[in-house]
Amino acid sequence: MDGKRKFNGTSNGHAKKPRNPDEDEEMGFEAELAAFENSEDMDQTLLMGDGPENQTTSERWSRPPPPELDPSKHNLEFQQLDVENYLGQPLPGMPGAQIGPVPVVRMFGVTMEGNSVCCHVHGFCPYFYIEAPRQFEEHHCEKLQKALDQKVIADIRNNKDNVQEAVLMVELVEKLNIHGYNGDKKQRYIKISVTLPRFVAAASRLLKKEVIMSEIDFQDCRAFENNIDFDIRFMVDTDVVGCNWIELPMGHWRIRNSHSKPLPESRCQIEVDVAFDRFISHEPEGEWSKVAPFRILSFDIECAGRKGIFPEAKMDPVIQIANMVIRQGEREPFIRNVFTLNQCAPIIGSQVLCHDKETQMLDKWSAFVREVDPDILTGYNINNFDFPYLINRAAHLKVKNFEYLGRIKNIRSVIKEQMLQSKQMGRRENQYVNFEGRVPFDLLFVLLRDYKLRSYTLNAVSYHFLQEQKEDVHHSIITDLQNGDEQTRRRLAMYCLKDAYLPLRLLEKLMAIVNYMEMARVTGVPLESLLTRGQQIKVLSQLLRKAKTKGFIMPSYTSQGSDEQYEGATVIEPKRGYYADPISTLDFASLYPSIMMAHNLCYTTLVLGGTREKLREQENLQDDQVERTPANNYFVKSEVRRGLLPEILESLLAARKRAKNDLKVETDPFKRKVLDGRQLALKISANSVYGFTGAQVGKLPCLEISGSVTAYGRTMIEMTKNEVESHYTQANGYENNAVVIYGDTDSVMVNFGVKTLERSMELGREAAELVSSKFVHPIKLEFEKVYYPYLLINKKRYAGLYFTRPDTYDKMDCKGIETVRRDNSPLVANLMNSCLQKLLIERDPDGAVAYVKQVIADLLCNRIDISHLVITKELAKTDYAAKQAHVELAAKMKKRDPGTAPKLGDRVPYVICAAAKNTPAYQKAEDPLYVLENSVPIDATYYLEQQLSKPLLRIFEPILGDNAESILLKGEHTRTRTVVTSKVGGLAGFMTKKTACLGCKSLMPKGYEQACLCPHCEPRMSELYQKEVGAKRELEETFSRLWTECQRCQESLHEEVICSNRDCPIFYMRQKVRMDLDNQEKRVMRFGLAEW
Amino acid sequence: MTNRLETKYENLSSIFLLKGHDYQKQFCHLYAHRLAEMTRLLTPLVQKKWGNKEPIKKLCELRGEQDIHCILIGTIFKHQAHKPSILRDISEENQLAPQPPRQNYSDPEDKIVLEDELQRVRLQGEINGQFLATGVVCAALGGTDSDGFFNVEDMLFYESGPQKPLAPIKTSRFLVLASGLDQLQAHKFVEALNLFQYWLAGSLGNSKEASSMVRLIVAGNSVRSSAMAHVPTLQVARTQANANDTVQAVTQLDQWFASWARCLPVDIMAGAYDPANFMLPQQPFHKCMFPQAAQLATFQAVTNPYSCRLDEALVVGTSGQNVSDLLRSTALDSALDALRCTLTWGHIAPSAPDTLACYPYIDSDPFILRECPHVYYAGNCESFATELHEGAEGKRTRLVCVPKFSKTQSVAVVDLDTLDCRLVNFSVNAE
Repeated sequence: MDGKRKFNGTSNGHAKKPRNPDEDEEMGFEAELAAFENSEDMDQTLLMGDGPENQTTSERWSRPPPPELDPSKHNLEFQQLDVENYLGQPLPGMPGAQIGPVPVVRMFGVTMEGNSVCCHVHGFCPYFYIEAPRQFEEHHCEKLQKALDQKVIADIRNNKDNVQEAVLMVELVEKLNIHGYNGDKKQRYIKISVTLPRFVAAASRLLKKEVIMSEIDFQDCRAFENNIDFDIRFMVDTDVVGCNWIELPMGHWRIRNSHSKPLPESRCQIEVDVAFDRFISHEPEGEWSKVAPFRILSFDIECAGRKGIFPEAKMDPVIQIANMVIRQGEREPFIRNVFTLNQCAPIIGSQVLCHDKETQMLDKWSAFVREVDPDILTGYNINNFDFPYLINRAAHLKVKNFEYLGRIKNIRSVIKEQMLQSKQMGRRENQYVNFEGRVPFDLLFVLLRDYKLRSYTLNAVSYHFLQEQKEDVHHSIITDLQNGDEQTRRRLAMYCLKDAYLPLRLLEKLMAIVNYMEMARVTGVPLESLLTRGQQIKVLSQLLRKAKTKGFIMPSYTSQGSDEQYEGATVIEPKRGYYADPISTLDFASLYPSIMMAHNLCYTTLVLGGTREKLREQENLQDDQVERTPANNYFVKSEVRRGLLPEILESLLAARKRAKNDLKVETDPFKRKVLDGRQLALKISANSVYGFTGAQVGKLPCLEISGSVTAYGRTMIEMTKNEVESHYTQANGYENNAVVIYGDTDSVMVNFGVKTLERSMELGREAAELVSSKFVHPIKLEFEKVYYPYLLINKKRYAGLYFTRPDTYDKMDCKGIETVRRDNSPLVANLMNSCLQKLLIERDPDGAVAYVKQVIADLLCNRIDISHLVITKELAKTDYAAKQAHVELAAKMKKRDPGTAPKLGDRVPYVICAAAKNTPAYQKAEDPLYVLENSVPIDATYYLEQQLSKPLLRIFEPILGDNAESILLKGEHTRTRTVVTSKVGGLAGFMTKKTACLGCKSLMPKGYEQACLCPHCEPRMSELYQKEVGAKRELEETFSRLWTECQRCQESLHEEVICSNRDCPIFYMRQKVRMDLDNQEKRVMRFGLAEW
Repeated sequence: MTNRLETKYENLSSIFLLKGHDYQKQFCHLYAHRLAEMTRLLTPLVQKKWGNKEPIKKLCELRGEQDIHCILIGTIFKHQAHKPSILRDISEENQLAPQPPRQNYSDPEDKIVLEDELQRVRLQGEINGQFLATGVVCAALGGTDSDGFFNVEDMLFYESGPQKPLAPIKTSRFLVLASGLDQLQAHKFVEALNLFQYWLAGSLGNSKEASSMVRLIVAGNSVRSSAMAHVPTLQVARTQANANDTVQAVTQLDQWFASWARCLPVDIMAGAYDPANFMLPQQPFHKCMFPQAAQLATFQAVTNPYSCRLDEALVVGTSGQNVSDLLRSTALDSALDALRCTLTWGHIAPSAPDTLACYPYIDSDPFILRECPHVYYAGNCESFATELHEGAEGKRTRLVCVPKFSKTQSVAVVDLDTLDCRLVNFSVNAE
């Protein structure tokens, strides 16, 4: 769009474009001309206070030049990724208010050819409804409009936008209230259109509080749809869904260029104007389900912090920024580079851009972002760290124009605090940075939303999903590497590049972008809101779309935070135990959605309390046209009126069925993942509809619906139990009387008392059909799996081997068992896992018991690898009211070495060490490395009693009965304990070490001080020597495997391993094996060198 | 005792003897020394082969530019998806249905990387990567491209140092090579062992032949030839199962060795599964394990690898770990090929320390073949195989894959003058 780019376009890229913008001298006359035009442009933009122009420095970086477009001859198609609005001036010839300011919607997107598009949509006005008072007539409209207009304008505090018109239009319309069945006769509502989105709230407030028209009172008139975001309002009314394709038909749009009026405002290649009713929004089906090749930029920054302090933007420089840019759908990033402060040795396959000054580096990076023009920005924790840090740092260094990272020339990216409250994720305080037209898609947010993990560090996450460890360089080493030479900085750059690349690989592996895009399309909301907002907006968007087509409008609801509770899902009391026979599981497919469909539960079908009589009289509503739910609410049947929610659910579930069918026939593993993601998104969306009606702080909670849904669920589970138990009896000719041993929200576990998988599957399938036939369509009981064997511990706690085919099991399924909890040590999870495997897969309860005993013995004898004992907590603040182990430890470590001590925001790993009796637990925490290096004894009792005993007893009680505790925790194996002698603290300073015999551990008699064995053991020398060498062997093997693994992970053979990734399962092991090997070597050496 | 021919014997294995141990060190030093020394050794060969036209460059000198034609010297690293990984082994997600360890984890998809002191580059072109191993140092002639690859046109290895000429033939003197006695299983082939002993002593009517046998080298796995069972646990290093049977086996071996050493000089090397240390170089067994044999001056335990000179002939060999590790990590499919490769790469155990455990040396790499051996063997091979390898400048090396005695009941005999080699079988069931 700017002069330079045009120049490149006309030269057709024949000549290699200069990589360095400073090499402009040889560009010739043509270039001078272009530069001239360019500078003229600059003048104008400077007047408008815009940020810098986009530069074109590299063929590789810039987008392909856009085609010549003529609005009268060409259609323009693009996939939009972001929809937002701004206040602008009306454009002559466009609909809507003609006096500014007016709201203009901006859609950003990409064409199939990869050109970026900014589309201004004009003429769409915000509006809302209120109930029309009885005496309000058509002729009052104009009067109300004028009166309200005056009131609203008077209400503006300081009219800096010079608003002259607030209320555009008042109309009398006929609509139906979505909430409650009231017959099909429409009611009269007043639709009030205003000029600016913020006047919606102002106008409805004034209508409620003040006298607008003396003759008519609006204060009791309920407002409708006055709490809908303007962007959502626009998307609903124009049928735009998230990430769909927009087509501007020829003759109906205008293009902006350097001669047009208005001038381009964006950094996009193509900038256009269109009226809100003149573009085509394509449904994302068929051809239009394609995806444009949009650009994803993943980046990571490194800061040189001071010893012991987490980097602060005001103090600590940014030293490197690594970037990877990939086109959606391609496998490899096409731009790989790193911006470094000071010289850095080159990296093959990546561009290294060295800078002498930090300000220069930041400036160039910002220009790079503008040139690459990414559609999606990603990275790990970029929202809360990298972006705010860069922006604060640039502001501190006064880097001109750095903040112009978005697509609108005159808007700076600034940091805002944002609070997100969601049932799914709890309360979170986030920082948010605006990038008009670019979507920040922080991988950390995706993971926090969609996956429950033990730890969310990038190390832990990449280990979890890619089975790869990531080299972690400690903050203190980063500064040293930066202060070294160009090779040490190169090493840092490699590390930084890896951190920029990993998010891309994870996004691909998790199919996150595709899945989120599918979700945006299904639910109709913009891509970005999926990460920044909760579940409700998705349902709201769908509900509004449905309501609009049927003439319904939604009352606005102000949350009262009521305490009214409805009964949750109940469970059939579990019959605990270890079942060696196959247990068939019957599941209700999408239970809550199908209940809502089957019983036509919706806002529009609800017979509100007390209106039943009225409806019977006025609407002739018969009793048999109304269904009473088990929660004592009434809904009209679907022949009277089909509910909106059931319709939404039907289309979601139908789409899910399609995706699942496609999944069945798809063989390409990549596409299978996409389809699986889609069906999952659809399932989540369907289930969140129920949640929407139950959300007490929601847009429109309706406890009649949510309460009825759960009530139906309960009765259905009950009914299933009764049906199964009464039909499958010996009296009816079956092998055994079936027993329902457990039932949860949407599944029922049945013990048919048969011995084979085949038979249990056969009966399961049959029972599912039998019971399904007794329920209303589409409620369907499905037979899905058999657990064989099955360990039922308690409500929501069970484990079993999961079979869907009789030949092999699919997986081991564990629910509610300590395998992922973060506040446990890995010992618990690993032990549980191994035990369950032995119990369920190997069917070897004795082996499991033996294994537990072995591990407990190892624990008590200090043979367990310390990484299994490490507990990790985040150091969120240092002034907890109650003393906490990790906080105390952090303080202790700071005294030892402020350089490596954990800082606020760090995760503190610790182990619990033995201490004097009655020492509070918070004082017993110690740094695992310190423990290793100083042989500090572990508090084995703590781990046994506080960590292992409860979960162990839970899974073993069903098998061993009441004896479990005495067998597992009190047996012979707990008698031997090894107490290591600490090198620090207590009496360590007063102890002297005397040599003992390597055979019998007795003190060496006089004259034998230098020998390895006492006279008594000497004849067994060969045997004892072999034992010591044998122990060394194992350590040597482990040593080799560990340290070579680290070399591979750091991707260098010739450089020292400096990784300090404490999340890595071999980090402590690596240290431990060194010490053990040194010690063992000393023992072996006491036998003397093998000299011949 | 038969009168034996006299030979001059010199033990050259002191470089493999470890005096002190320091496990605080990492493996990078070993690679650094290997690369430095090999670069020094390779540089004259490079100029001889490719002339002075192409410059030898460091990767960092390329500065990421394209189309540079040059020679690189560096260490090969094979990025192998299926390489055994301790991380993967202990990953909790992978606990379910553990994969049995692969017999061979070489794959056509393996990526070949060349690494010099500071940087790495992916290789493609004329490299035959499946037959390369991590840790090999080589020179590569080729050019860089825009995708960050180095397109190799030709490669050069060190092919071991110079060779001392053998003196002209006097009388035949034989070196006997045995391995894999596996005393734990010896009850199955005790007759063969007896025959072997008679043969050594010359009591099978072969006294003339026996008198020219000048030395017996037992190349590892005398005690056992398979791994011990491990107790599953969450410990750092696994503990060994009860080792009583091993102790007994060692006592029995002592008897055998003592009687053999009465016939001729016997050198015992430790092997992969013997009660010795694990890392290469394996240290000699302790004297206390063989109280009887140790009393004889003709008996000694030696290191693995082992290197000695018998008159002029340089004999170098291992108990076979170097070869079996290559058979696991490359597409090489015979022990003889693998053995030959280590010779032509000029390095006894290139895959150490990556997949073959070895001591973290900090000031040298003792495994470089600085002098070309006349006899070069590997113990514990599945079957006997041999070949006279002819290297550059008339260097001749007898390669011997010494078979497992426990499996084949046979030993290899090498004529130290002609470098001829044959198999002698003691199986009582054989035709």
